[in-house]
Amino acid sequence: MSGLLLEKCVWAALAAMGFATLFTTPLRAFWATALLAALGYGLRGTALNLGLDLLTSTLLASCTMGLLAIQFAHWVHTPTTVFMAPAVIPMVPGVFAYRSMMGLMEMSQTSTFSPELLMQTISYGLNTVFILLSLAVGVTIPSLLFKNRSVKNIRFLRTKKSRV
Amino acid sequence: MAISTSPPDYDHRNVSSLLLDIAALLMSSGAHTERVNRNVRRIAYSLGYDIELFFSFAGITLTLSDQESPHLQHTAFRRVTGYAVNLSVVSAISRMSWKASVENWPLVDITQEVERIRSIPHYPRMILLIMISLAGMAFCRLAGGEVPAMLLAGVATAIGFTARNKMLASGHNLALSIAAAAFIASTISGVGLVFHWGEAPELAVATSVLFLIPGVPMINSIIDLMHGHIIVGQARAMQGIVIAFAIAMGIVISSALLGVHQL
Repeated sequence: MSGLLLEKCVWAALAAMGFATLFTTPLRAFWATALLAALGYGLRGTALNLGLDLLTSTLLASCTMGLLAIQFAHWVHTPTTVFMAPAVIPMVPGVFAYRSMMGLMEMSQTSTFSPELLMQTISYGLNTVFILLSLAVGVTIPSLLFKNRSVKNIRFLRTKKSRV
Repeated sequence: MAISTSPPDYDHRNVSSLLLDIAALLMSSGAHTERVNRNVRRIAYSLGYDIELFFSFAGITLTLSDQESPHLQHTAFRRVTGYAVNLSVVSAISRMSWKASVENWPLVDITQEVERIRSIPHYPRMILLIMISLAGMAFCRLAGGEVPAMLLAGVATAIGFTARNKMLASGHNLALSIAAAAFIASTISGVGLVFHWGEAPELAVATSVLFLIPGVPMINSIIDLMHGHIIVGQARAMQGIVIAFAIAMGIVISSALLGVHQL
């Protein structure tokens, strides 16, 4: 099981790097994107295996990524969103969004549909929305937690001299 | 008339024009509103001016006042034309704003640096195509797809992405381009559904359109709403929803055309 999760982490890193290319993230920040994406995906998978529900696991993973991003921002000299935005993309619930939309389509095509279809469609739709929200909260965490100061002024690890 | 020693006096129009250039460049490159506010304010202070900014999705209004003589005020408006994500620009302007405020850059240096940043290119088209196809395959794998579905998703992503770029480059409407790209990608990946390739061919359809998802508008929308930039946040969310519906329209048309009810 853990072998499969490890493999998926690598794929998550690859997907994040694809989006980093699309968003023109600077090359020096690519490793941060890949590492954060793999860590986040792995953390979510582990939390799911431990029995947490999908929404809580996603929130946990994205908030951890957000906190790590504060330190990463100092190392790669970019704002946090530059590498965080592509890093959360592998966790976007694409299949849920697709299934909820297909459910809506199916409902609109027949006048008599089963209550199971309605329930399933609503469940997929709500999951999509709330997972997206929890991902965005994770990306926002660095600026929310520290009273909107710039990340430049927040240091977890002391360094000799602050570079611009 | 008193002689002001420091900081040097600039023409109000030049300063406000430069600051609005920076603000509009940041907004269109995918920075969230609070970041634009902070960066522009930092640069304005280093030049010796106080500013007030008003943001909306279509443009930015700036009122400039001299720190020495606050009764001199100048207000200007700049439209934000087109939103195309380029996070290298966001990163470069952020660094420049720090350097400019620490090292007290004069106006000319900042103007030159902004011109350099404006010309930062996107990655080469071929590399972009390869990376985005790999990302499409990765998405399919993450959703649990097998090798045939992955290959199908990769090919569909590559062709759909090329179609989107072609349409946007020839000046077509954004929603139309995205709907067309989603239609092309989901038609190609829908072939697997028609011929029942592999275990779960519908995963290829669901993941082959994921390269179109409005990731940056959605994330920026939440960040803006949380920071209290309600108007811009709403507009960004609406933009994200429009793009999502365009993707949905493309898939709906292709599934009607192929005659498949995939669920």
